[in-house]
Amino acid sequence: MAGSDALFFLLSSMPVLSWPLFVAGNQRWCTEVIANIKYQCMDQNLSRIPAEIPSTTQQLDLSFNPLLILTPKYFAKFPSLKVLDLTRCSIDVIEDDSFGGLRNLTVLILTGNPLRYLGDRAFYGLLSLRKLSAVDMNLSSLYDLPIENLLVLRELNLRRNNIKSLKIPEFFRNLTSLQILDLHSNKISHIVIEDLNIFKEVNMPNLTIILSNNVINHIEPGTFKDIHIHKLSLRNSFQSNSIMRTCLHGLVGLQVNKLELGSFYSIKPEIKFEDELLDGLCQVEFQEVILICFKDLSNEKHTLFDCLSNASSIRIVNFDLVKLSAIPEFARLSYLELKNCLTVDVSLGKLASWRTLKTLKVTNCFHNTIFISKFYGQVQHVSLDLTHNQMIVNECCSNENLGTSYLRYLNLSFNSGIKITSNFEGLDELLSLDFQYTKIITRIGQIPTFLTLDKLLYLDLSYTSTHFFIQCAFCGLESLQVLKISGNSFERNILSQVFRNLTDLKVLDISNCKIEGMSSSAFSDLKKLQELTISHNKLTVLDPTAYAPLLSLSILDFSCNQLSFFPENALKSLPRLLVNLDISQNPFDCSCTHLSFLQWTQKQKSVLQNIQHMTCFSPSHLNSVKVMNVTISSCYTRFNLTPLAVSVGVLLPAALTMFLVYKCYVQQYFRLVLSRFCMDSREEEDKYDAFVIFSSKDEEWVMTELVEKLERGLPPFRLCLHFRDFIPGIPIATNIIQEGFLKSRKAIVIISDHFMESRWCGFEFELAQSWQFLEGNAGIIVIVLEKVNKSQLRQTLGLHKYLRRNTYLEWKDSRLDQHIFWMRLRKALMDGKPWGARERESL
Amino acid sequence: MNIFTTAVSAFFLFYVLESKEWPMHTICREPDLEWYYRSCDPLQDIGVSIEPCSKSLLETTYVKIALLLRRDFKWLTAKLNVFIQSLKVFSYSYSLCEPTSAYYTFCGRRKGELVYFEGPVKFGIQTIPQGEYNVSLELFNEDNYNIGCANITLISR
Repeated sequence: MAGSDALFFLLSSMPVLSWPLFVAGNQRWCTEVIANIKYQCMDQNLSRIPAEIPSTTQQLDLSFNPLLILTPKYFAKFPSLKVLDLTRCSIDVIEDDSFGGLRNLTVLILTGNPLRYLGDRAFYGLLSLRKLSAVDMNLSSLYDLPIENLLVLRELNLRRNNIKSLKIPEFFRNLTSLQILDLHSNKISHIVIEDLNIFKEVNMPNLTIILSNNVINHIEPGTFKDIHIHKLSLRNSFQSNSIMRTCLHGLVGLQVNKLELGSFYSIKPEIKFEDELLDGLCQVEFQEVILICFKDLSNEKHTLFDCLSNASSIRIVNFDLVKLSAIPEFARLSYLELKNCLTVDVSLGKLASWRTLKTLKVTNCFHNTIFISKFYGQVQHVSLDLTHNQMIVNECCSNENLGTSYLRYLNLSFNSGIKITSNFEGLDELLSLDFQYTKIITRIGQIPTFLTLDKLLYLDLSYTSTHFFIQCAFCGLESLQVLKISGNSFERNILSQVFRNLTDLKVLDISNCKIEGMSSSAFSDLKKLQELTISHNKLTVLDPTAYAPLLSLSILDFSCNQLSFFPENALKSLPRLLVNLDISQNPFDCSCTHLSFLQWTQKQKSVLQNIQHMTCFSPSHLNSVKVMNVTISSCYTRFNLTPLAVSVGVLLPAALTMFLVYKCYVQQYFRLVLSRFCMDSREEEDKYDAFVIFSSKDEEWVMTELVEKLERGLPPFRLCLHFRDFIPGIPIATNIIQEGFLKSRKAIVIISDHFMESRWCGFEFELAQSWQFLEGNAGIIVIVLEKVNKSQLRQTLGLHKYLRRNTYLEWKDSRLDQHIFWMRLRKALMDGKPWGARERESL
Repeated sequence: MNIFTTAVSAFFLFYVLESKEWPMHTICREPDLEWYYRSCDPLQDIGVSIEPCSKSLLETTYVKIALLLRRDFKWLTAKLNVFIQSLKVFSYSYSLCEPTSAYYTFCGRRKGELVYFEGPVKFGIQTIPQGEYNVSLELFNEDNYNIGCANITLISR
């Protein structure tokens, strides 16, 4: 029973043991982002805060859970909370003091909760709250929010509510720290004179008011008079040009740093550039103006920008502008950005040549950028950014070409082409030069071009189709810190000298330059280099002496080369400060000959990047295997232990199982079959002392000798005889088992020629043998009645063998022999007879 | 018998995985053209509609996409890949939102807000050639987090 029990337990215990784990796994609703500090429980169908959140938590994200109602002191268990996200928690009731105890809370996000009831004291106790997000919460008025006690509030986000009036409540007087009042996408249509009275009394120079995406029909003139704020945003706030024009007149008297006007992308744009559209801005005092998403009516414009003449910064983004016949005198314009122009009038180019201009950015205006010929900025620290314009610059780059000697920042990247016609004469102030992805024609790489740029810090010539012929390509760049020249090519012999004297260089990118080998002296002057990228080249071997001088190197990228291994001396000499090393996508040789390299990779796991892309190329059986997964241990032993381990692993459990099954089957199953017959006879066990197996033809001997001597002798033995004790009406086989074997202690087998002839006797004898085997004790007593024919003996299965191996009794004619015979038989029958029975019977 | 039952139930306990796939939606079905899509965003189903349902792309095609934000974004990039029998035939990526030039009204929206885009899309071809196309449309934020995702199947006869 033990074997099968063990098996059953093993299988049945699997789910039992693992069930608690399974449940526990499900109960972890939240992700621990930072232990004890930050927890993320988004979208877990929680109706309350899970118990697993520790009280030390500072940032808790409960968004998208059906919390429904916030009751007083709901979060009191978490006094350290700083950020609480309750986005879309189906909260419709926030009772008084719901956030009680959250003295440290700085950010509260309530976006998307369908609020029906908000207690007057709902936000009490939030002494540190800086940001309150009440987006999309059905608020119909600024008075709906009881926030008078949020004294340090900086950002109030009320987008997508149903607020109809800009009437600022009296309690805003207390919110002196307020910086952002976002009313994007509300229902404000009329702004009247008393709405902003509070801001006339309390000065809020850092406040940004966003009124975009409201449908404003009227702004009463004087509303903004004497109001000084940081920014006013009015995008997509006016339905037509005429409404916009009159509303801008309503801004009279406003003082603002930034003014954002325009619309968003829409299928039918409403607002178009035309004269008088911006005339209202003449009565507004502002520094920066952002005009975004304007179309053009194609009519002649003379006065469009007249009221922008005092602006110091103008950004025009996503626009069409044609037929601009006049621009005003800009007194202070220092920043001009034109971005994503669809069409633009040539005269706008005059803006670019404004003398006060410090920064000019014209990007993504590729249809019309030839107009920027000269940049006349005559002030210090000028920067020019002309990226993404599909420009062809025919003359570059000297102070005469660009019109200024004060250029610090020049970006001509992502254009079509630049013809370098001069050696940056007169541009001594240049700090940053970016030509990436613009084809460079002539000079650079052929003659020393940068000799005058001794202040340059940043140079990007990536993918400029430059071929570096000369060793002195970068001569003169004494201060250079960043050099990016990926996607170009080098003359074979110049690499050893080309980076000479760049002693301040910190970042060098020479990826994708078709480099086949690195000269040992290439980096000898780059003592300060921190970041080196040599990826996507054709390096086949690594010369450690080349990298030895790089004492400050912390990031090194060798990915996508042809390196098959790193030699031992290279592994030792790689700079010790390395934090990031990328050697991925190389065709590594993972055979045991490079054992030290394989060992090294496993040791350097924390430094190596993109480990998942480090794969073996050879030997063939390891092709595409990840380098980290190669088993180094196989290199230590001569023969491979794996098949042996596998066969032991498989065969041992199989043998064990077979053994258990065998034991289980033979011992238990057979017993079960037998016991089927004796379910009710257990108490009658040992009813007989012996079951006598004999042929009916020997019945006479049995009756006269055996029964006479044993049943009537002392002590008397009770024998089971088939003709006398078998119950009639029951099959013979059943009788043999039920009456014969199961109720008898022993079996006496009487062997004679008749016995051999009888099929029933053979059956009974075989059964007796099995029975003896199962009971595990000597139960069969064999009596050979007469000399048996040997050949016949052999034919009876098992009997011959049995007689050769076991002691048996022989019936002989002499009286002495018979006396010994009975003595031995009685002794054999006495064995195992219960004492009580023996005594009872002997009395 | 008991052992067998236990073993089978144990197997199912451990190996029945939760499979979550959004339903397939039909955008339009005409005799010569069919559009279907399925959200590949693990967190939500999304809404996509394309009008008119025509093989000819001479008229302006209007696309509408609606989804609920599960993350904030400042930058938003759309990535479009077209496959014919798992062979990529067309790839396009476009920057929809930048912090300094919010072109679309949904730019700068935060978690929990609804993003709704409606607008004309130019395909650059006049008619959709015969065949079955798989189009994957993905939206990413500045952290490369997937803001929205749809697998579109297009059958042109």
